[in-house]
Amino acid sequence: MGSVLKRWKLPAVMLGPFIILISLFYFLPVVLIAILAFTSMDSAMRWDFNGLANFQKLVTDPNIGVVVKNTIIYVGFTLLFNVFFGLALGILTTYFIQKESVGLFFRTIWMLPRISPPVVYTLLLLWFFDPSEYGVLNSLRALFNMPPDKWLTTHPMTAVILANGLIGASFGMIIFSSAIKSIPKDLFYAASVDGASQWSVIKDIIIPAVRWPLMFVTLWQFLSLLTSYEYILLLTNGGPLFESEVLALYSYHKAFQNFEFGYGSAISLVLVLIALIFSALMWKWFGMKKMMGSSRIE
Amino acid sequence: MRKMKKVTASVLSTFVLGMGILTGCGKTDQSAESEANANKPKVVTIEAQTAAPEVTRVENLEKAAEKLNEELKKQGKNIQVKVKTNVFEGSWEEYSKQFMLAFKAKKEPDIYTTGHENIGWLADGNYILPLDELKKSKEYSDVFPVLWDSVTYKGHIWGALQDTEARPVFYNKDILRKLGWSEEQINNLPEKVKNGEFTLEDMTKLAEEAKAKGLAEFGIIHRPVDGPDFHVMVYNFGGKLYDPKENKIVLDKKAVKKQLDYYYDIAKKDLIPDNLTQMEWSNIHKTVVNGKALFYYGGIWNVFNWGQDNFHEKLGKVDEKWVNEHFGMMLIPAAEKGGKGITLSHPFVYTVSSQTEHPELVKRLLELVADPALQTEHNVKTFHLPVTKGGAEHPDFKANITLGKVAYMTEYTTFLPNHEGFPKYSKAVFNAIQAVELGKKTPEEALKDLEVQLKNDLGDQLKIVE
Amino acid sequence: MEVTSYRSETAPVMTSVSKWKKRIPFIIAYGVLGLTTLPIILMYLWLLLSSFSEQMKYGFIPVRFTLENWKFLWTSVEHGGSELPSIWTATWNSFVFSGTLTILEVIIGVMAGYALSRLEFPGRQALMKTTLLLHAFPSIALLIAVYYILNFMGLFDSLWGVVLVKTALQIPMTAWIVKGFFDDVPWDVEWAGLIDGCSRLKVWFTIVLPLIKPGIAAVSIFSFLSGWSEFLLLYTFILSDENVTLASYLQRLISDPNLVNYGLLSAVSLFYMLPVLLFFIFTQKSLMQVSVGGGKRV
Repeated sequence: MGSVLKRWKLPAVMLGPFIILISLFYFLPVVLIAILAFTSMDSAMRWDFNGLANFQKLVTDPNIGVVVKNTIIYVGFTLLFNVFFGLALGILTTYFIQKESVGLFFRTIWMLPRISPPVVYTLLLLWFFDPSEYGVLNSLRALFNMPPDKWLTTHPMTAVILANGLIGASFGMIIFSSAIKSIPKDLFYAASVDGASQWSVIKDIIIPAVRWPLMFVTLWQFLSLLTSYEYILLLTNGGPLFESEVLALYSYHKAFQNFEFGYGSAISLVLVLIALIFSALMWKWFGMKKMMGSSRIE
Repeated sequence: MRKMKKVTASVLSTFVLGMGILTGCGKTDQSAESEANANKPKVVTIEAQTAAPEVTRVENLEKAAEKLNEELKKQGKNIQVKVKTNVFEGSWEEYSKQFMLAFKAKKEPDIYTTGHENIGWLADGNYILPLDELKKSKEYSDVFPVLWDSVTYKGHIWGALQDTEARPVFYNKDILRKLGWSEEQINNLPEKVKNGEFTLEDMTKLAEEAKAKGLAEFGIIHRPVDGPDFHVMVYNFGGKLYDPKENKIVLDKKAVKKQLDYYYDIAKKDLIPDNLTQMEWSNIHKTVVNGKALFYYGGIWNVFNWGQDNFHEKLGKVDEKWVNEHFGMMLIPAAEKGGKGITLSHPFVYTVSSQTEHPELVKRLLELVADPALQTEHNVKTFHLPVTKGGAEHPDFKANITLGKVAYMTEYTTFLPNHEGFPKYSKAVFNAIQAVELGKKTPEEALKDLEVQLKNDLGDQLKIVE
Repeated sequence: MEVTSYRSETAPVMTSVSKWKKRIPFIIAYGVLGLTTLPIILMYLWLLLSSFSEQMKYGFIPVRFTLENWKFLWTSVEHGGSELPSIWTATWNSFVFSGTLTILEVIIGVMAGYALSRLEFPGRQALMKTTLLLHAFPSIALLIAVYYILNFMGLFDSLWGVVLVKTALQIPMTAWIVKGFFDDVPWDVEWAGLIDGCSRLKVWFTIVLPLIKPGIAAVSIFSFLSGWSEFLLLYTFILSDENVTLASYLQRLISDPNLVNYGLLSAVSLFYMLPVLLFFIFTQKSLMQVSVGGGKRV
């Protein structure tokens, strides 16, 4: 018994606060949401159980088709944008621009959207896309005698993807550029002596070296994109109509705009399940087990 | 697996302990300071909250508290009332949400100032107290009778009327002048609208003319976001929004079809900016103030807004006098010839939290705040209309050039229903309007989708009238 | 003679052509980077210009220099009829919020990261999987449940409550990054200390921790920045004026769309961003190290 205690003491102390926090603010909320999903809680905030009514409503909801389609488009395209653009930025600022200070300058600029508070960042974008003649893009069009365009109406999804893409790309950029930096310099040197083309340097040296970070970024961002909606909320609020409404935002709207807390929770619950299933699948495909290796002591 | 269970058990017990400690520290500041100072009057704090920018709504309560304190002194009661004010800034949904959450945490204000249409959910959720006595009080005896409808729900009065407003259609006098209208014709327009001589169709035609002649960039502008203005059209087309007997929201298909047709029509004729429902408010104001639109479905408080920020390209902030020289205000023209002009009001009310510790003091405070002088101070400053005849008679109110001209509108007014499901109805209808304006749906399609949507959102709270 | 002269003349030509050819990818690289970076620079430049000018002509040309918009720094500012709380209260609250968050995050993250990397305990694999999966939880969609928990703990409308929630939401990622840094510390280092007879804890403090300083720095910066930018949680769970933070302060300025004052808004936005920018510029290096957590271990 004593030895068991001793064996457990250190991990328990070290992990105690961590586990308490995630139990309180992840597991417990999920349990609550799972209960709420079976209630008809509305603005009166009463816990009245109503069986599967919320899920029936979800199936017959006339908007759900559009919302699911949007979610797929949003996650898919933003992910593509993030990964490719992030990789491009990483390669451009570390490999092509050898001067550290210049690379750093560009990376700093690209980090700006990421470190800007969301409220400030979306303010800038709103002003950029403003549909009247006073908006930036439309002011530019006016210089060429073109009528103002309603960017957020005609291309709401593009705007949302771009807005999230700019932020996501910098995440990929940091990770990729440091991976590229850790490639031994003689490899590049050897390649240039051999007269290898830039393309083959990218293909044969850089890409293999960033294979692992590439997977990491993809998985990580996939999960964040699926469940985050702060920027969409601030930028288009899901509109016009439901054209940029994604599932996570839909749940928020149902709960906090329509005050259908029960129904909103049911949508959240579905979202949690989808996220879990997808991460389990990706886990299998990418062989994430490698990532965790066994601990190296004891 | 068994080990996992052990872990979970230990974790659970740790955090239950932790929570006990945390909740323990949360509640320590209650008991103290109740005794002591037997002679000094006991200070009772009443919290009052309102939404920006009309802070006079709570400032008036502070002033009313002074009177209440005098009264209490006379009655020999050893109590002093202090009003603590709080001004919320954010969207209306956020404002409601905050009250719900604060109420459940017992941190809500005693007096919650809100639009009358919130009474439904506030009453249904037991958030607020019925205030039927107010109707009998001296201070509220001369309320415009129609206004009581706006605070009545399930047979009770739930709010103390604070103010009401006019939502006139602003018309640009300069454009009419350029169209060759005489000053007299221009100034008579409101009268003609009132009597139903100038109809909604005439308004559309006039807008078309101005646009065709290149005198106005846009014929008509309405609000860019969801709001009460849209639903007045249902009343205008002879429809209903609510059935008080069954306590259900009504989808009046005939009237709503006409409503959608109207917005479809003005969009198709290019009278509105084709991105109207995506525009920023500030750009709406800029467009109107700079004379780019003939008609604007606005609110009387816009006169206040236009004096607050640099909307005019050359003049910056514009004052009341300027607005009256360049704009006229009229009712919404009747849908049919011989009908009457119509408008919709959205009275603001004080509601009282059902958890308040001093219901009697709060109620007396609400009676005192209806004083005509206090009402007028608020009305003149923020461009709202009084709820009592006494308020309408006040010399300062009568002297106001803008308000004096629209005071009659209270007689032509209508209200939104107080039902808790109405915001959902409103949002769905707005989406339908948006869809027809953007040309994404025809009115028929939009109506069909709207019906499906409402059935799903409202369930048995909905009554469909063919 | 002729032949040699011919050759000597052509040789430089050849090299200059090939040099050009070699440079082309670099020129393209600079071009692409420049073009994509320009809009970002312009957006932030607009923020700066509009905060110092009375009006923006056509939306983006500043008119008349003024300090009026910056008045909020030394006097109280009226907005929409009500007086805004002091900017310094908001700044102090934001600072306290981000500071506490950082401290908690670092302490708990380092402890958990160490345990995950070095200690053997039952359920380790499961916990690690969970840590990564937690990212998939739509934590923001769980707002309503989190409200119930905070309320139950008596921490609604308290900055401490939000600090706890925010710490919990970020701790999986922090622990994961820290774990990566611990993984890179050779086991021999720790082993050597143990053999010398030091206690495990002492080894930890004197030998291991200093080795992962860059990791701690990176995690602190990330926590601080994300705390500083936090909006949704604070907005939902904080009521009182005395607890106002900069994000909510800014939100108040845009809340009434009838009364948006772009000059004041951009000045406050800039003020809000200033610490972030300074912090970011001075800690660039540490921040970029984070990638190690995700990137180095192939």
